[in-house]
Amino acid sequence: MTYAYLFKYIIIGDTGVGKSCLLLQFTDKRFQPVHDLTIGVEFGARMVNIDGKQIKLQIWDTAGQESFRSITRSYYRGAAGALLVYDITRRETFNHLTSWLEDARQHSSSNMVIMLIGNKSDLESRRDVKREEGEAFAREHGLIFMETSAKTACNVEEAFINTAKEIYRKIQQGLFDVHNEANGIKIGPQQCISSSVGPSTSQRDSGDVESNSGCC
Amino acid sequence: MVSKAESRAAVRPRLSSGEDVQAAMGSMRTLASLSVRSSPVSHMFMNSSGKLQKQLRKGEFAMFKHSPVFESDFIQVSRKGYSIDMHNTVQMVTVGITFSSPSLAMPDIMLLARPAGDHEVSAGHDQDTKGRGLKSAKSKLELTRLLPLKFVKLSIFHHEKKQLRLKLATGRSFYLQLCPSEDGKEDVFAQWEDLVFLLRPPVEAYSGMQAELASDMLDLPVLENEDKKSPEAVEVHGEGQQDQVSVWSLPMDIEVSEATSPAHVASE
Repeated sequence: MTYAYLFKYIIIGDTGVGKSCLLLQFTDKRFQPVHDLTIGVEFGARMVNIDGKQIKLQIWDTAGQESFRSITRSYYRGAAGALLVYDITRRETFNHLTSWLEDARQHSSSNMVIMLIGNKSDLESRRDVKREEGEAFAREHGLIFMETSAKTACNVEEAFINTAKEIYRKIQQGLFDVHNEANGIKIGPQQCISSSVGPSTSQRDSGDVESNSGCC
Repeated sequence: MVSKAESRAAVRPRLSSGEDVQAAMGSMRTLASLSVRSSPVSHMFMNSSGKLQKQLRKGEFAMFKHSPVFESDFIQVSRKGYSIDMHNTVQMVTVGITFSSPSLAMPDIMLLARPAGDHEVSAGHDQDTKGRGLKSAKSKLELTRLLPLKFVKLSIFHHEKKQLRLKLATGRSFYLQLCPSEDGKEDVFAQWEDLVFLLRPPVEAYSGMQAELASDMLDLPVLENEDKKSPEAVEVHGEGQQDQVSVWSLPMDIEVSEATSPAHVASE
């Protein structure tokens, strides 16, 4: 299937925050309550439609366990977007965000769009990190923020697609050099720039969502 | 044979900045060839042109666009060598060994892929997979996993059946049987054996000869616990009579263990 652009995403964050579950929910629309510890990287991909353009999201779900981190951070290179995930029921996963953010910024493009995700929003009764704290962290560090539930699928589509929208917006503004694959963007086969970065249209498909359609 | 240190000394320093990467993309293939040429695994990689490598050359995975890949198709089998599941299908896995950097003399990454859009290939009515020309129905592959070889232990499980054992740092093992190559080459498994020996000390290369090996892979408490319960631990103690069916769809199917991510477990 052809696409206008391919965006490389990485999913990062502490072990057990639900990175692989988010990917599975986004690509397969299902939730798997138990998942093997990720070693290295697991890949996922899905087409989305942003402003009438078919965009392929190539997602690198990375290992969160500390012991694997020194190796997996080398795979951040060339990512256009990152989902930085913490678990709203585990304070320590929120406390480690600064370290993950430093890693991400050190090993990838300065233009990379980062979406901060507070996952497991379905576990409200066990909440350990207030939504306002996530919002404040995101504001302070220039990130987009959403709370999601990989279990109920709440905001999962939005998290991935809003990140793609922001990357696409940066492309249109000329902030991303789409010819430089180190930016995590690849022009699709048989696409040319003039047709890829055209004026926005209102055409949408099921892959496109409203920014504020959150259910959490 | 050229030592690893000599090989590394002979190549350029690895690229770092994004701008450098793009500027040098055109020459990376040459760089890779140079480093691989001085490597003990050069004969496996210099003339490789499998379908995984061809697909990677298209550039969707920029990191591997110019990487040489040694690859083969396998079917996933149980520990006793059976491959058929209740739906009379087999799990096809393309295993590729490659380099994360052109400056490396030895491969450091295993890539796993499956036929795109169709994860299973009909195996007909014959239950014996040995010798069957299993051709993957789809030529396009879907890359599913990247495993740093540091966290994988590859060993020869059964020489005659051309089976490898792949043991992850989590303690889980998978058994893969080489598919007969379409061009009828006889020496492909011999090359895999060479690779196993080059990646591991000879005493560890054959599964049947090894003691419990996880200790040199990772110092992870969670994995130590897992190893105690792993099929290998049972095998070492002479109690491994059960047929440990390792069903590995890609991404993995669930098999609850202590090496399982706690994501959402608490909520169940």
